[in-house]
Amino acid sequence: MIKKKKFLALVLAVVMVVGLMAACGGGGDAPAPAPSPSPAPAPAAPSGDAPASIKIGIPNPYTGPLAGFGEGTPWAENLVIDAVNAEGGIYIEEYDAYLPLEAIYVDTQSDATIAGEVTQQLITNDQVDILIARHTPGTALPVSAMAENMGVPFVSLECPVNPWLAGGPYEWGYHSFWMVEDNCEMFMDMWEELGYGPGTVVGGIFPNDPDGLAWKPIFEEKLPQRGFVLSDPGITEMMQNDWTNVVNKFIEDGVQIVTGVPITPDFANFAAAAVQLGLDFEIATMGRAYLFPSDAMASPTEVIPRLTNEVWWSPWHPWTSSIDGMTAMELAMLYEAEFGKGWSAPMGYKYAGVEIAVDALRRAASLDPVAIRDAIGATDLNTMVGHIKYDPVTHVALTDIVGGQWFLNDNGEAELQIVYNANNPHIPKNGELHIPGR
Amino acid sequence: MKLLDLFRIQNTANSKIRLAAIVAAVVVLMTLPSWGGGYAVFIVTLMGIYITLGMMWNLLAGYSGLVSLGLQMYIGVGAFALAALSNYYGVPLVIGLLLGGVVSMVIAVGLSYLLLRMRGMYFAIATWMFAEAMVLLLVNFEYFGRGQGLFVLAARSLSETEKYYFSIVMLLVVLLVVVLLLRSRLGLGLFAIRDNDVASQTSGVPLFKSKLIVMMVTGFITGVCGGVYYIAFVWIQPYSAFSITTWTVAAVFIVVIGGIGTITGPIVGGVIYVFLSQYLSTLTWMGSLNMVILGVIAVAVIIVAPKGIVGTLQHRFGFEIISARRWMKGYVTDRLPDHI
Repeated sequence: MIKKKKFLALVLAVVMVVGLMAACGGGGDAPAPAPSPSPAPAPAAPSGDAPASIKIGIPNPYTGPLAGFGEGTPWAENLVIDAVNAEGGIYIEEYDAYLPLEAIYVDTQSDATIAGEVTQQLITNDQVDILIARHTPGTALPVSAMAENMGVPFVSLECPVNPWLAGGPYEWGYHSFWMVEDNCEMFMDMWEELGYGPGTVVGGIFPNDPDGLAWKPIFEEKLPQRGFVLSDPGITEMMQNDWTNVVNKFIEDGVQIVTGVPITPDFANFAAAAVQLGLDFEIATMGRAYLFPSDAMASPTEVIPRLTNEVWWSPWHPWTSSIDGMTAMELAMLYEAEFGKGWSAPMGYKYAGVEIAVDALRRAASLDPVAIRDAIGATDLNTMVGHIKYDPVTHVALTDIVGGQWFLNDNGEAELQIVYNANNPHIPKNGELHIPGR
Repeated sequence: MKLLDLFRIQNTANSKIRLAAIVAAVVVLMTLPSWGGGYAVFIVTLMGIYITLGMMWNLLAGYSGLVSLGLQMYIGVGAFALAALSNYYGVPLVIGLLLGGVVSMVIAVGLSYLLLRMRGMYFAIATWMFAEAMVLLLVNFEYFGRGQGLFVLAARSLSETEKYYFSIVMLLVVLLVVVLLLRSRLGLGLFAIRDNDVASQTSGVPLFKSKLIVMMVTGFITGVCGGVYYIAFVWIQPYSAFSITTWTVAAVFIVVIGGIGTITGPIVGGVIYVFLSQYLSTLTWMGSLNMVILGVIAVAVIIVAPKGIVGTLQHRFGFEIISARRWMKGYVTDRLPDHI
């Protein structure tokens, strides 16, 4: 009897090993993710050896600290995919057939390590033809690194150019967003328009992460060139609750403006400490800290009208879809109607990433990775985030930014207005830059 | 005690079948890239890393009674040491891996003099605290790329097959080391320490020395494991490399599911963990619930089968595929010998 049980256990162990090997074999038996909605019939039926679809891999932070950026996925991407599939898909020459698009989404959990793992999963298991990397360096960098490492063409967006370039050089990917230098210049332009100038003390909050490390040396170099005095409390650690030292230094130095690129909870805690300790800064001009209305609302009420930032996409940007001519305003309104909440800047980049991929696939007319990569590199397209044309050396296309300022509407909710556009006058203003209380 | 004794097996039909199964598994693993698909290579690479991690946590908690929440420290230290040595001094990756392990081991030895004065939850929290302190220290150095971290530049030229062999060779070597360690005199002492450290000490087991050796072995191997992981994934982001949820929580899950205090437990747990995490990452509509699922599974296993899958099977059938105990003539494998 005991021998029989031992034999059964051995059989069980062997079955487990065989099961494991069977699941691993062939490179494709892992659970399939949900496909995007069914495509319309293609004009030409795919030949027997044609794949069922063209696969676009999209790692997205659905959970974790970056989940705010992940909101709206897959809705925004599927607007493009459904429109392309409704026309029959994309013609692929080697199969002489139109193939539908299929987007495969995975959750990065806002963790750089997980982002790398799930990207490799998309490459090896789902065998995606192209990848889209976006949503801050925390996601864009590991996805770009993995795609580059494994020779998969990729479209990268929505991560300041400087930290993205730090992970290069890139052979397989192209990136679009803005340079920190341009952003810094615009911040100073805004301050000068408000009447500040040489001698104005600006407090800098730069966290110890890829964004903060990219921003700090540029601000240290550029602010003194135009006479601003940077009050520097040093690199700050993320997720700290006690901002007393920083606030006290700013008070001591006579700070009138605060700037930097802290994450939302850090800025909210800093602003609360500033109010409590009596740091009466007149304007805050920050990156990342309050991109969404909920982020702005995390600050003390009296601080909200003082919040200004760079705006990289809004309903007022004069961009239209290359797919169906939809305007930025229409996309934002559609989102608000669908989800019952306000628009957010990442929405435009979610949409544009797929636009660029679709355009490249159409021009490549091939699933050969080199052809797709070269087609991405040759992009010359008006998209939902503006005109995209990559520099052949840096693989970067710069996108436009303007200045925004928050205000509290009649319902007591934070709303953003475009208040500064001298650097990009084709993006209209809908508010005036001002110092609250003056 | 002769070294050969450590490898001795029972001369029975079952033992021979068991040995044949192990040899077959090794052959399958070593030849996988030549017949398996790209996804198989990737997923088994991951399994090699997570199983190794699980075995290290198991060695600490399951065999030595040292419940650590700071394993991620060695992952981060090993990875950053490898990247720095490789990027700045052109040290070959294999040497960098071993040196990264040595750096982790040195830190483990240094910390042991503080940590091994504590027991239970005090030890657990202190290990976590040191890991957190380590990342806060490391991100202050430009040398380590501050909060941006480092890329393991030399790893970019490696093929997926080469990365696979880094992982699998590490796994097989670590498995052998763990078996030999547990079958040694030290291993028997560890069993005694885990069950009752005061009694074991009064029986002559060198308590501090035994725990120190385990800390050294764990530090070295986990450091190497961190290096192997970041050879595969290239970018070392410090907050992620030192993340308790990414590493130690995963290790605890692997060991709890597989079976604490068993050699094959982390193997089974690691396989399940990798498949589960791969699958759950595709269930994007679930949002944060996919992480809750891992927790629910772990809690359910603790309630239904507290010994884990392998532990429960061993208990039920009195059978081990790889045993931590030496076979000695006259004793059955599921019973400890009365003397060494």
